[in-house]
Amino acid sequence: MREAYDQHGRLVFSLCMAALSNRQDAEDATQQVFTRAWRSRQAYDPTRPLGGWLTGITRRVVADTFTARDRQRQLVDATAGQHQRQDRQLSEQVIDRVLVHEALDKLGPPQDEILRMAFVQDLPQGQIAEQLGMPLGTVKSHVHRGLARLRAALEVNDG
Amino acid sequence: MAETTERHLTEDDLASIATGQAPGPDAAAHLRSCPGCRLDLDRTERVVSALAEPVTLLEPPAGVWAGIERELGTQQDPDAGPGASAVPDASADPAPGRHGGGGTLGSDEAGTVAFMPRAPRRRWPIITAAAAAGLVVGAAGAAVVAGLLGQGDDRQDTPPQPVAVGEAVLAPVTDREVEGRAEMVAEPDGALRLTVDVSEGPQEGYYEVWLRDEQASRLISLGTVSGQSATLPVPAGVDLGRFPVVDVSQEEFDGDPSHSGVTLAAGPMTRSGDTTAG
Repeated sequence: MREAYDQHGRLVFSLCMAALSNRQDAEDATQQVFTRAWRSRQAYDPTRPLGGWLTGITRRVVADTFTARDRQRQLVDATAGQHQRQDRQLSEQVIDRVLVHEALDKLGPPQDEILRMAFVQDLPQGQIAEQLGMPLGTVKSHVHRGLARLRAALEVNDG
Repeated sequence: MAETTERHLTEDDLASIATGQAPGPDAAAHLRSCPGCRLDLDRTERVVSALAEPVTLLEPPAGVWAGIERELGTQQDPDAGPGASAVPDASADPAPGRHGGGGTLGSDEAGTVAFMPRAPRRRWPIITAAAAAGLVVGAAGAAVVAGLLGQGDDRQDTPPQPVAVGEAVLAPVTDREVEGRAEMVAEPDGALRLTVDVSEGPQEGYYEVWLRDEQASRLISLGTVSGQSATLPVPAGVDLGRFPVVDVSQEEFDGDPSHSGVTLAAGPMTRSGDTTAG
């Protein structure tokens, strides 16, 4: 359990923060994700990636948190329906973003740096090669392998 | 007539299309006919757009883990992160429950939860290699048990005896050369027990006994061994055909319930009295 938490705590907490935009709620939700995971551990198929399973649980906990917020709001505010509707769940884009950046961090140098330069800063590969003093072919192959690995990170969530 | 659309998209194709370049005619034609490449391209596009969006990755604050522990009532060492050394004070800490009895009998309600999740979550390169090394597996054990349990009606004059169901020779896997054997019996009431004897007891930590499949992708913990022998209850209803291998692992007192990845000895269970394996 501790190992699961060490490996995926950041992923789960980041997902919760991104969805809930409230630190206390995100902490509570993260705690719930791991306690739920523990209690339903029999349902975990060990041949599947743990991160994907935890992401699924996170989705449900986030949805439950929104439901609880609604209920709370109705108690204190009869005009609940007029509140601006937020994004009520963990959107796929947010999950993708967190999964990809999490995986990017785990790629390690120089691949993570190269991918950042190529896709975050949007630099042409020629310029990256020049800045890093690397042959263009090497940069290209890092980009390709890095993209493949980040794709694999998404597969985890797609099931 | 050559099918130019046979070629799958290369990483280069995927990267350039995902970053906005128009696919060449061959690639476009291939994409129309190849769902695999469409999926790869779709994911690559998602990766590229996810990368362009900033995101804040945050470690959960320390209080979160404490809350999880509190809620679960576990006694896990809060400092035992990855890479933390084996807990040295474990032998000086004979806390009840820590050493536990039958693996799957654990429950959350006991104040001290000795049992950790039974779902393994690591890969086991060592035992996988051992499994691949040609451990021959006896036939579907569950059917055997069922058959044996159905017997005995024609021997009513003798008191019911445990019936040997199967046995396994546990071959050494590590250079510690720990070996052993295991015997499974069915009690007259149908309960299954596995007796495991090993050539050498644990020098540190403890041993854990598992039933698993050949790939070591599914494991059931039966319990622990602190000496050279233990008789452990086997959960009723286990399908021995799916878990045909007996595995003895070296475990540390680290609070991690999953298989440590270090198998000392393992071997397939063969049906008792059956020489025609398979």
